[in-house]
Amino acid sequence: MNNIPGIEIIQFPFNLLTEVGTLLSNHYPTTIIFSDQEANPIIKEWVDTTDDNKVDRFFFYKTSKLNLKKFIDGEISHIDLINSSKSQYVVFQDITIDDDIVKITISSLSEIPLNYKPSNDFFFHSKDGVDVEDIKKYFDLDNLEINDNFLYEVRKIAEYNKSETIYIHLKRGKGVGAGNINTEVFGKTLLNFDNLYKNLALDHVLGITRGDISLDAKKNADYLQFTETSLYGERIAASYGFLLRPITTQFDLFGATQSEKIAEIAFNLISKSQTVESLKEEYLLHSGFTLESFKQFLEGIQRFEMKLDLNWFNPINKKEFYEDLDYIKANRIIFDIDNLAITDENEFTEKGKFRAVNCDTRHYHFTSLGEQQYTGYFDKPLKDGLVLITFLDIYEVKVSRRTIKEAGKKEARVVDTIIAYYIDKV
Amino acid sequence: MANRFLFFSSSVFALFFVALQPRQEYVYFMPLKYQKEIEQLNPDFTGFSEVEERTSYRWVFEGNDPRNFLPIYKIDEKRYKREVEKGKANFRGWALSFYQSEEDAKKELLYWVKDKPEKFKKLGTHISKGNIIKEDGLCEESCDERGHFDHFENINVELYGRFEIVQKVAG
Repeated sequence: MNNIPGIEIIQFPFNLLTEVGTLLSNHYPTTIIFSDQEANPIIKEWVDTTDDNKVDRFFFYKTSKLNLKKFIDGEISHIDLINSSKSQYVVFQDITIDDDIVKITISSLSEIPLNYKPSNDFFFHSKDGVDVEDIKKYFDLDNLEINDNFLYEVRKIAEYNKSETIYIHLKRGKGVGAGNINTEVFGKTLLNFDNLYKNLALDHVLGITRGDISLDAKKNADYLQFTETSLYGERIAASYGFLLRPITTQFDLFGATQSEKIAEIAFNLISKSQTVESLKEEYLLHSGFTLESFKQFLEGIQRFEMKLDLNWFNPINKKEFYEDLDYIKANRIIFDIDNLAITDENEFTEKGKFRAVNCDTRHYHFTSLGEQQYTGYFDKPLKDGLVLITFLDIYEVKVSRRTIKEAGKKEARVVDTIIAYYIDKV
Repeated sequence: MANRFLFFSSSVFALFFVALQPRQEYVYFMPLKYQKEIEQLNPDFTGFSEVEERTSYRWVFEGNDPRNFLPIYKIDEKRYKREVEKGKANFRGWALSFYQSEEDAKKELLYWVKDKPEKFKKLGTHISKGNIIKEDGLCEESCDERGHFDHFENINVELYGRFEIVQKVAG
């Protein structure tokens, strides 16, 4: 067995009034719940045994009924439960099979050996429980309300910083733990959300008929005030939470800020994706780029088996948005998107220059004055005039866009046909 | 006449002593290992029967570890007494746990080791494979969602020696 760093003591510091029941597991009791005289749950965790199985090692810690309920309800992981110990220490006890106490050691939470801790992503499942009903009844857990105290803290942070704030709370998932998170999981989730936010912002500013835009280009720097966010707080919650804010904060003297409008669009997209009927309508309100980035965000949630909450606060007007997603919902939304069958047509005009024209096939490549890229075909009747197109003149083009999303196809096909064009004479 | 009488009396016999008898619950005559202890816990053998042959997988320790084919109440008799005192003892504590596939057995063991990395010291370090046959006792006909099923051994059955280790999982 490991050496335990800590102080050896003579008297066991907890007053165990009653053994309430075994929480885990049926094969061998490894998490047993006691109560002290103040009706606090004291948890006994089996962690090790000697090679000859004659001495078992346990550690004890005191927790709150709320944390115990959260663990039983699957809201927090087992390591979260241990780390939420009311005191910041645990008490190790080595006991023989004849119930003789060999040693008692008091040790800090941070000193618990790694092989004595549960994996970050181990959560309680009711089918694993043994005396769950007895435990719930004893501590009256069903009548306890779980308030998310972290949300309150986050609102305070937003108010203190006078900043619109997006709070993303990764409650569960592969590599999501108590105050720490797997780097890849965190990085990819953050990037996927950032990509989604950027595309929603560009749709909002430029319209959904926009072309592909490279935000790295200097000429597109003006868009950054809408698309960029910064990370300004993390590890707010026991699992993993972090705060983002738009890089430009606009005080809403004259109505909602651009970032509030973008946030509202984002939360509507998530909310309305959850039924097929509303998804069909919502699908047509976004560009293909946004929908692709939304799918990527969902695929990340699915891949890492995540459960997360998204909140948005405006500390000035106190407006809030909230949505929650998990990998089951994400899977369903992706399935629904893939199986949508929609055809949509609309027309728009753009000014810019042609970069390439094929007079035989009628294929074109067009760059708008706003540096958006479009490709497609000229309408057939325009074929004869293509030879006269120059690459120096600025043209105004009228585009008929057909968006075809077939059931079973993951992506929609976008066909941009130029139906008219004129040299722009200022 | 004699034939008619014989036919009539046979019919009466069949009617009263066979067809009209109240249906009896499954009666299992071969004593099980730990029969006395099992009977004290109000066993319900619904869903259990003898199986012709069933390939089964079990967590074991390497070598001749005595725990390999003992039920949990035999391995930890204190636990049995404690649970009896509290009225929580379950007759399944006298059964042996098996899995329907090597994959299921491994997955389940690793699942518990995720919670308690040293738990293999109590549960087993290897997966063994063998066949349970009709003479071995009562087997749970269906598995749970994790591929687990219980088996109650007949008295004098020794499964040890009929199972061989197929994989090391932990330790």
